[in-house]
Amino acid sequence: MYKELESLTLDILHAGYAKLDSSWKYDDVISPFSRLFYVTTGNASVFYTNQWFKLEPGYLYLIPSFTYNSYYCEKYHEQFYVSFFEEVQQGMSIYNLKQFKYKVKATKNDALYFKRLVEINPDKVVTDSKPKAHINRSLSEKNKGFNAHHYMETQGILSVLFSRFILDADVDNLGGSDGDLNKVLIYIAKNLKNDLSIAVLARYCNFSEDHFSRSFNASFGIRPNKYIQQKRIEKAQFLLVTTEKSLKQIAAEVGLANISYFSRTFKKIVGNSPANFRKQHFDI
Amino acid sequence: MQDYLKYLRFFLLNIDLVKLDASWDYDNVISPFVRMYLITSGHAYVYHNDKKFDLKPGYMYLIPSYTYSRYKCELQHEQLYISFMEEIGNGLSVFSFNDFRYQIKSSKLDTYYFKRLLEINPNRSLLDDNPHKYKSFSSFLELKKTRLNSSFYLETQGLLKILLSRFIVEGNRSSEKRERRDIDKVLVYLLENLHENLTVERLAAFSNLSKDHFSRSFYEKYKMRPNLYIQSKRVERAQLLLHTTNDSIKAISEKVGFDNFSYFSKVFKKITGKTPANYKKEQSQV
Repeated sequence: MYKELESLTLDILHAGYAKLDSSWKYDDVISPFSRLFYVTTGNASVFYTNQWFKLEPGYLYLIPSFTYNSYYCEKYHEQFYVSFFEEVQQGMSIYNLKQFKYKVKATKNDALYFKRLVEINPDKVVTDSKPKAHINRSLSEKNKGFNAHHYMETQGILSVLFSRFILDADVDNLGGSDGDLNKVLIYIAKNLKNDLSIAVLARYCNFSEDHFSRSFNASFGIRPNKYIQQKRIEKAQFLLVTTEKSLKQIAAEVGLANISYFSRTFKKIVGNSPANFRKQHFDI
Repeated sequence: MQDYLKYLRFFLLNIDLVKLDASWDYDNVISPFVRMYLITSGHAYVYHNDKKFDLKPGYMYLIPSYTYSRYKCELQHEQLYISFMEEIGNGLSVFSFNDFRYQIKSSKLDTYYFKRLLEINPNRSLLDDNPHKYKSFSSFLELKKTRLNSSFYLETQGLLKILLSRFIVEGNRSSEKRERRDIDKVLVYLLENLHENLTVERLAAFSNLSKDHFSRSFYEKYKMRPNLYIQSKRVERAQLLLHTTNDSIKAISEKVGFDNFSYFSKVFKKITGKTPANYKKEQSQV
C-alpha cells in the first residue's frame, strides 16, 4: 500500500552547521543529491524550481536532487545543512513519484533533530577546501568505526525531516492510462548500462516502436531517447560524486562506452565537463 | 556493509498510553512482533531471555519478536507501549544482525518520540483489556486498511528507527562478522525459499560446501542443526501468517513449505507447545 515509500532509502552525505556571508553565492548548481536547510539566524535566498525562496529563520527548505538552483546571501546567515541521496525501488527517484513542498515551518523539535544529526555525524561536515579528500573519506569510512546506533538513528532522523516535505499527491503524468509505461521507467533505470533502443523498450511494452514513442511522449512529456540520455547523465553525476571510479568506467557503466561521446553529452546536459563537475560540485 | 540497516522497515501495530493493574499477568507469551515500553509510573516485571526486567519509570524496554516472555504487574503501572513488526529486505530480521539491550534509561526526547508517534497514529490502542475479546489477527487486517498519509508514514518509520537505534549494542564481534556474512547469505536464501523443498543438500550446494561440511559449520555458528533451523523458521513464518491473515491453517502450512498438514501441526506443537488452532485463538491475549 505504501509500495514506493516502503522501498525508499536515504543515504546521508553531509551534515553540519555553517556560518555564511556574502561569499555564499553560486549560480546554476545542480547536484545528484538533495539538500535540507534549516536557517537559525540571518537571511539568504535560493532559486530553484523556478521560484525564489527567501531563507529565513524558523523554516526548513528542501532542494530536490537534479534541480538547478542558485544561492545568494546578501550579508550573513547561519544554517544547519544536510545533504543526502534518495532512491526508490531500483534506481528511481521519489521525486518522480510524489509531489513535495519545498518550504515548511520548523517545529519545536526540528532544531534538536538537526543538532543531533550533526552531533552523531561529525565526519560529514563539508570542508570545502578539499572536496575530493572529503568524498574519499566519507566513502571509505564504512570500513572502520562504524556505529550501528548512530547509523540507524541518522536514518530515522533523515526520514522524519524528509517526511515534513512529502505530499500525498502523486506526480501527475501528463497522459492517462500509463500503468504499463511506469514499468518501463524502472526497466530503463535498471538497464542504463545496456543498449536501450526504442526497439528494445517497445518490445518490452509489447508496443510497436511508433506507438511506444508516441505514448511515452504523451505520458511523460519527453521523448524516450532524450529521457534515457538524461537518466544516463544523472547516473553518471551520481557515480562521479559517490565513487572513485574513472571517467571511463563511469561512462561504460551508464551505457555510453564511447568516452568522448559521453563527455560531450554530459557537457551538453550539465553545462560542465565530467571532470570539472567532479572537482567543483562540492564547493557549497 | 552495514547497508542492510537502511532497508529496515516497520509495520506499526499498536500504540497507546495505558494504566495496568494486577490483571496484567500473562505467562508464556511468544509473539511475532516486537514490543517497546516506556514506563511513566508504577512498577511491573517482564521476564524474557532468562532475565527478570524490573519495569520502572524513566526507562524504556525492548522485547524482540519470537521471545518467550512472562508479564506481571503486582499493583499498577502506566506505560506507553508500541508493538510493531520489522523486516529487512525479504523476511530477515534486524535481531539476527545486531545485538540489542533490553532496558535503557529514557530521555525526555524519548517520551516525545512516543507521544508524537501516538499523535500521528491515533486509534491504535488494544481494543479491550479483556484479552479474550481482543483478536489481534482480525484487528491487524483492520489496521492495514487505515492508511496514513505519506508524511506521517515516513515520520513513523523515522521515529521507530530512532527509538530502536537507542537499544543497539555496538558489535565488538568484528572477527565473527565476516564469517557471519557468508552464512547470512544462506539465511537469506533459506528465508526466501521457505515454501519450497529445502534440504540440507540444497543449502550446501548453495554455499558451495559439501553436505557434511555445511552442516558442521552451520551448527558451529548457530548451535542448531540446519534442519531444525529450517523447521523453526517455518513455524515462525506460520505464526506470523496466523496473526496477519485469515488464511486457513491448511493454506498456511502449505505456504511455509509443509506438504503434509498433520506433520505441520506436529512440528508446530513441538516448537510452540500449542497446536496452530490453539495458537491462533490464544496468542492474541496480551
